[in-house]
Amino acid sequence: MKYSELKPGQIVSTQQFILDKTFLDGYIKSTSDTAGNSCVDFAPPMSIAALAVRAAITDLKIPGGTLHLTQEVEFFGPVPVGETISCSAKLLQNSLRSGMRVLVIELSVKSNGGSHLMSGKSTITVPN
Amino acid sequence: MNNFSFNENQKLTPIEMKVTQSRINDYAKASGDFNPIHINQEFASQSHFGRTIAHGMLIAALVSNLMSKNFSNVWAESGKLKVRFRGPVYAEETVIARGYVKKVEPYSPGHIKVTFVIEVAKNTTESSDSSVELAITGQASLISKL
Repeated sequence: MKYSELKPGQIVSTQQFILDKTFLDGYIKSTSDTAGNSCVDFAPPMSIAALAVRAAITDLKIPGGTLHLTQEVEFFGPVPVGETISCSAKLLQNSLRSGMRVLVIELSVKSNGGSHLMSGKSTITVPN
Repeated sequence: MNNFSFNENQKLTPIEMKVTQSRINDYAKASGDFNPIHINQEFASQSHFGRTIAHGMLIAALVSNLMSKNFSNVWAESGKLKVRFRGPVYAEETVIARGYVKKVEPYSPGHIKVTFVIEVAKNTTESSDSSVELAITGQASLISKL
């Protein structure tokens, strides 16, 4: 992928995921994030963000050596286990700083019914 | 939303996590982020880090866990987080997430907005030490009932 050709405003990723038990068990095992023990019925909030970031880095074919500089997230309510979520990512900024390409990506996660579940913003540097 | 009491400078109950390579590998599988800087010793040894580092989102998950543990579902209902990844967390390091109430302000009738300063420090104990290495700094907020 030629990152220099990506334009701000461009949708760079759209993906759907199911918050199934297999994913959540793996997420909770690796993070120990039980969301205050409410994870039996609801997904840990940051697991939604993990999937949103996953969608973006997969669709952008982010290479090894990419670094995460900042992350913002906003949650709009508990998301039940089993929910299907739609993640989209839009490029907000694409610039060169000290020889490194910096991408700012806006993340949005909605439920199957269209409710907004999470929004966020990731800043990453991609080897140029 | 639940009722919590908030006072400026009130400290959150901190939480700690050992970031083993096994944990990093598990996070790679769960998150689908197989960047070799996290899971490939040979690749990482040739990077400027010299060895594998944890995913930023794995360390950010500790902050979300900190907020959930302190404020239960209120975090999932209205939580907002803004973090900067200040430095790498290497495999086998221990990190502690902690924070305190920075500001309590009216939000809407019957509700307040509470803003927290949060950080994740490396290889330290619960006691605050300004010389510790920080992996994450940032700010969190939530909306709570009065």
